[in-house]
Amino acid sequence: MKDPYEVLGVGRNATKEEIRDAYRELIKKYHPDKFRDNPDMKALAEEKIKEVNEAYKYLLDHLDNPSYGVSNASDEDQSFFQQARQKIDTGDYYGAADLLVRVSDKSNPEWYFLSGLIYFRQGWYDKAETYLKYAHEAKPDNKEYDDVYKEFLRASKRNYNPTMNGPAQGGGMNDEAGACLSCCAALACTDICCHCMGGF
Amino acid sequence: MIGYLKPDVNELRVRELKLYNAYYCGICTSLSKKYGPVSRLLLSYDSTFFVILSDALSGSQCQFAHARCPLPPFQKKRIVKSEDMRFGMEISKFFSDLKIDDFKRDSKGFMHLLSFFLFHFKSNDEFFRISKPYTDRILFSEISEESDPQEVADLFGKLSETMATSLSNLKRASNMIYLIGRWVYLIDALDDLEEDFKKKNYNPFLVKYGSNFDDPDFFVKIREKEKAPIDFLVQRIRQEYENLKIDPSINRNLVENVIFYGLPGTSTKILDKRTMKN
Repeated sequence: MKDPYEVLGVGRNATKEEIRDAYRELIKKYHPDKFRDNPDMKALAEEKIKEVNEAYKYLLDHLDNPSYGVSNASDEDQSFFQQARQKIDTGDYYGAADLLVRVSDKSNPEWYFLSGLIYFRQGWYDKAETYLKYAHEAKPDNKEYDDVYKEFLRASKRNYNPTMNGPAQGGGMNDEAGACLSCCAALACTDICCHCMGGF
Repeated sequence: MIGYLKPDVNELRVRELKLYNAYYCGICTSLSKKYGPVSRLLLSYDSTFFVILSDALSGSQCQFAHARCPLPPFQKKRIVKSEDMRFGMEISKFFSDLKIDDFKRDSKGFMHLLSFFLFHFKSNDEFFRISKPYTDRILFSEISEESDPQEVADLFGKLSETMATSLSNLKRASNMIYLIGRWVYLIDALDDLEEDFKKKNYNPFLVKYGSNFDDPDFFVKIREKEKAPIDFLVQRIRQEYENLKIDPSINRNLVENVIFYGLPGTSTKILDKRTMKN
């Protein structure tokens, strides 16, 4: 289910030149000749190279006609999404990831959302954040994307704040826990007063 | 004694601690029986945790027995006898074999010989067969200097999951075990930053943050930056644990102790570690 941009390690608005440079760099890094002594390692290097090649080809094909967030998913993709959702619900994350690899249009927000959800469940902090945020920003009014993104931020103990990009805030007297605390403090004070007035 | 999945002893009831020790001694005794007395040293907290978890999931009643232990030599200790003990022993052996492999590759000179001399025997073949795809990939990441710790942690998570789910009781908890494997890898890498840097070993965090080695607070800064991902992971492990809905038992209390106190405690201890002055 790998994002081609991620395989090549380039940003989403990288130019053709940048993509080509990144590609060459990776091909050099994983060149199978480097691993000649060990057949197991050589096979893995070849696998990596194949992955890099596929990502490069995909990006070249799609760079000229970007379809980000605009096109609707084809019927086939739609059914993959549907099945992937069911698998995620039952906790079969590997099965869901396999289905997402087969989706042909990997720029659909739904693809990002489901990938992000898998990363979330598997505890990949940074990837979950990137993917879920991307889906959320592509379709800000989708309630489900919004909910899951919030859930992620809650799990990572950060406050949800769609407008500000500042550091996490919270823990003051203004949130729920704070209200509870101040209530407790007030009760404790009252209790102390009771004792000193000779009450119970 | 090795491993990161330790209980927080201060939070245990006395009878829980006794049970934990009985499990611990049980694995130790079976290790010694099968692989010889030296292998007692390979006993790990992690494998103890898996055996306890397995019994908690199946809800089986513990059978106890008594065995002699060299420390102290004249006293018999109470041990747990359980089907899954054999598994705990094998997994203990297997993971320490991996550690030894690691050790042999990294170290040079007489330490290398020493490790070879002590541990030339291999554990369960079945484990080696099913783990090979993952151990190969982990080795590959090391050779090609993978710069994303999460990628390698993913492989280690899958490895732990594959190993653990070869025991049918643990299948239900596979997602949690995957997450725990991830956590163990990341925490281990963060724990060893200074040592790996000194010995020039592969450590994904050192590759990720590159340069800046002149900064005396470099390691502290890495740990600070990695705090959020680790906290998130611990949170996810708790969520998965709650999904399991284990029936109440002493074993469940032990599992909860490790997950709710031991794991976060170990994380904090390692993340707040200051660089020692040389």
